Amino acid sequence: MATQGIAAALAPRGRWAEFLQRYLPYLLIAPALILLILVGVIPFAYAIYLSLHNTFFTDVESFAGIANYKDLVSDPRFWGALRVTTIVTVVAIPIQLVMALGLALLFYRGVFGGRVLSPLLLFPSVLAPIVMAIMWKIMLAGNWGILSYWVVERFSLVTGGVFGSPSPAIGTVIAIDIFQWVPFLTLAFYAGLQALPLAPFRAAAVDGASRWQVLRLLTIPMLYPLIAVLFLLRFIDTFKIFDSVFILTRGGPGDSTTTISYYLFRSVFEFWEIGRAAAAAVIVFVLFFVMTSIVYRVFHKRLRLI
Amino acid sequence: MSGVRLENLVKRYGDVLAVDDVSLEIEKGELIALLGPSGCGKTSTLKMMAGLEKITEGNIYIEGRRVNDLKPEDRDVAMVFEDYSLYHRMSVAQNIAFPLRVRKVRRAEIQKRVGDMLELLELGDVANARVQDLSGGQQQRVAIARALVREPALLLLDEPLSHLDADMKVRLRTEIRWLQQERNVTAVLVTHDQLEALALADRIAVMDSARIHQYASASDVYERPANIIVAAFVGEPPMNLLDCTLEAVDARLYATAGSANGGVAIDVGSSAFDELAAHDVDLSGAFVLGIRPEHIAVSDDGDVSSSISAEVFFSEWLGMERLLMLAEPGGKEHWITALVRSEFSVREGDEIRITIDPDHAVIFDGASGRAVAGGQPEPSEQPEPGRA
Amino acid sequence: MIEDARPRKILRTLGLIAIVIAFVFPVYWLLSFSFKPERLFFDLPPVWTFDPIVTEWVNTFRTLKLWETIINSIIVAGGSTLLTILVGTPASYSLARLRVRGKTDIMLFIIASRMAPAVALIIPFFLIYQFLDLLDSHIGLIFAYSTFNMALYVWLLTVMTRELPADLEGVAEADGYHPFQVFLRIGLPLMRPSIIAVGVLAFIFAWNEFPFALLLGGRTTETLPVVAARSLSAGGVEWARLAVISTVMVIPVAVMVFFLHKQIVRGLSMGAVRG
Repeated sequence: MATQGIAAALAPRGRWAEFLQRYLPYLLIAPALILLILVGVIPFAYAIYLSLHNTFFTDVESFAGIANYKDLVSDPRFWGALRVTTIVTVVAIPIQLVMALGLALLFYRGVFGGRVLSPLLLFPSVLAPIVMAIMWKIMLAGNWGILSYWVVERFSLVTGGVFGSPSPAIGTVIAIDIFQWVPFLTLAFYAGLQALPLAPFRAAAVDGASRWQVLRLLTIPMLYPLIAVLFLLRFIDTFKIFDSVFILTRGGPGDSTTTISYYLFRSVFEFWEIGRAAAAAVIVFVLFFVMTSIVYRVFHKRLRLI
Repeated sequence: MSGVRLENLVKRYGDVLAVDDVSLEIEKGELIALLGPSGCGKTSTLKMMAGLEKITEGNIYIEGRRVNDLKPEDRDVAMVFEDYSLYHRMSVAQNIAFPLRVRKVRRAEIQKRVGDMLELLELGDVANARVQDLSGGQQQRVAIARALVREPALLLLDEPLSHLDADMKVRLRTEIRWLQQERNVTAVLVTHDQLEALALADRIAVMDSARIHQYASASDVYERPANIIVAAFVGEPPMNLLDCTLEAVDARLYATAGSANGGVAIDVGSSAFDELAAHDVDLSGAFVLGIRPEHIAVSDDGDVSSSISAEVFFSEWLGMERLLMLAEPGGKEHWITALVRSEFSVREGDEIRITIDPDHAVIFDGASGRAVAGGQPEPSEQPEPGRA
Repeated sequence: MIEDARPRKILRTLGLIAIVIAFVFPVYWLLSFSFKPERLFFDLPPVWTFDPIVTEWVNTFRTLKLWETIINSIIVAGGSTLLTILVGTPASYSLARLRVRGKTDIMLFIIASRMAPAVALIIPFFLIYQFLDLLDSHIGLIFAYSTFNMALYVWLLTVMTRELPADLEGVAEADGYHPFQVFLRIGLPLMRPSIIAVGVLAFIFAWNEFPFALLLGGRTTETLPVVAARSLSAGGVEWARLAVISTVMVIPVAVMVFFLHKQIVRGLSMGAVRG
């Protein structure tokens, strides 16, 4: 085997070998950590630096103290973006988790042809968010999109297209997130349910628990660790939702679908307010870590990530 | 009053017959054991009683009520599992409260009954501990408390002690027996461990190959086995089973066993003769003489006519007793096992003389395996359980 | 449990088929537009059956030079995957198998960097890349993709490697192999299936990535998502073209899902599900 040749050539000898022996664990980790610091910590530090300066286009001019932060806090559009992001997150995630858990509970006792059906079901979840958004754009387009024609117009849900007014536009962004992630979550819960021990369910049957009681008192508590992990992961991703907003609504109408990520994008690449955008980025970072660590702490005992 | 009645119960898994025409009657407050090797159908029978398996044919009555079509929760049965099957993520007290909670019992009532159980099983100190932190014995105690807390009509114990250490086994065995009698609950114990069955049960149903071979008190199963299967399974060391021919002389029965010099005639007494005569058994066939190792004694009076000569090829000291593995004189194969007083000193290779106690001999028909003398009739020969 | 009746299983299967259709049909509908004659797009009610044509495929590849875009996507996604595997594999092995002080902290740092929102990072990235002249370069994108891929890869591979039996490594070490040789000769072959599974996941994420490619890339590094987004804005929407590009993006992902769906489910849950 090729690796044998390499290993022989690299086989360390003498003091070098001792050094390797001692520090090998760290030498193996170092490149990955350095890379993560380069692409994570340094940009974050640089963002802090930028946020404290006045900028003109991409030029850093003078120290500005916390002026950028002050501007930001008094910018209603920033708060609006936070609000939109929160709405999307708070509505989309519980719905998709409950739907997926419900579907998984329907199917986990076994189906025929699961080996064909589960890859098919997974498919929407791994599509590029861009493709997912394009797909919905075609389905909801004008009066000729398949959903516009058969659903929206037929039941007179909204006039002027779903992207014409704020609430339907947010609703659509939420619906797309749900549509994209319910399949994966269903499969994840399905696998989680099949991994549960059978013994407590047998005991519960004899003890006289109804199906609802079994679900409430046994199944869901035993699934808590998984629910917590999936909640955390979906929370992280939904909070930075960008692609579907970019393709479908461009943050509109008005700022009604401007999420935090889209707000940041516009501040930089439309208004070139780099300093203020950096301040926003810093706040978003901090907010993100605070919220994630709250979520993490709430579920700490149930999360078995490490 | 009848606690439980099984009527011609049959369980099939596809083509496999797991339980074959099992009928049992259990008195209220009685603890019976289903004893047999693994795969004999005892667990399937228990699961049918619990409602965890569908009944293929036959009926189950609990306190007079036919429960075939009832769900487990409507049968008023409780079960203790081999693997404890406790509810993880719940405390000890929550586990015990669970059956009451799902039945919507009032909170105060739950607290009182759970408290009683905690006290009864000495679990008060760990009431709020998580069950997965407890030892196996403690976990099984919790499972027992959970089963008894709702005062079921029938308690099912599925190999409850098989995962425990030896000393915990003995302790919990006593506790189960005491609790069952204290609460006067009808109980069925499934086990492959005969010591457990002999120690716990009022009556034992010995199962093998999907059938019940004998259903009787512990002492009857032990001393008066209904057939060779029961005789071979119950007892440690097992009963000696010697191929023999029979001869009646002067209203006494003699069994000729062994191969050396045309075999030795063993006097099995007059009561066996009477029993055979009463049933008109033809003595010309092949028979098997069953005798427990402890009913064999070493003869030291030199009376050659009533004793048998045998050679010791293995001797094991067991404390109170000594186990002797005997071969025919000059032979090398194991022939008879004897349990004698441990003071009796003997060396391998010694030739000794032994006698058997004819009152404890059992004669089996060589072809059918049924006991023809000294045993009980098989269940299939007994009259149907009383349906009055 | 009580045996489950066959009719119920059939019923469940039918239910699942209905759900799968509900989720997969829209994808089919999108893809069908790439073969649909343009005059049928706007018919009311929407047209289901038509004779497929490939005109738009030919047009798109010709006018957009889609081959170049595909090659860009392959370079960037492939390069990112390769970099991730090269740098991440030793780290995962070390975290899973060797004694490392502060392991929990390192793991926490890794999962924390998986959480960073891309658009927030893009601001400093943009300026740093402008300074380093890395804007609109493949290598710049490949590095930027490490923000999400490295964390994902190291995390998952560590979790998966921890579950592999370590007996062989113990034996090799007892036989006098140097730890580094143990890693190369025993560890790596053992980890190979996991490396492939997690690598595929990293490739999918890079292949699908949009914000970095849009904002740090440029004309010479346009990837498929960027070209798709561009077809949306300029002077009305080119529906057929969008469908063609989407189809091109979907194909490799579909193939990978078909072969590795269990590992992908596991990966998307950061290893919380045993797939």
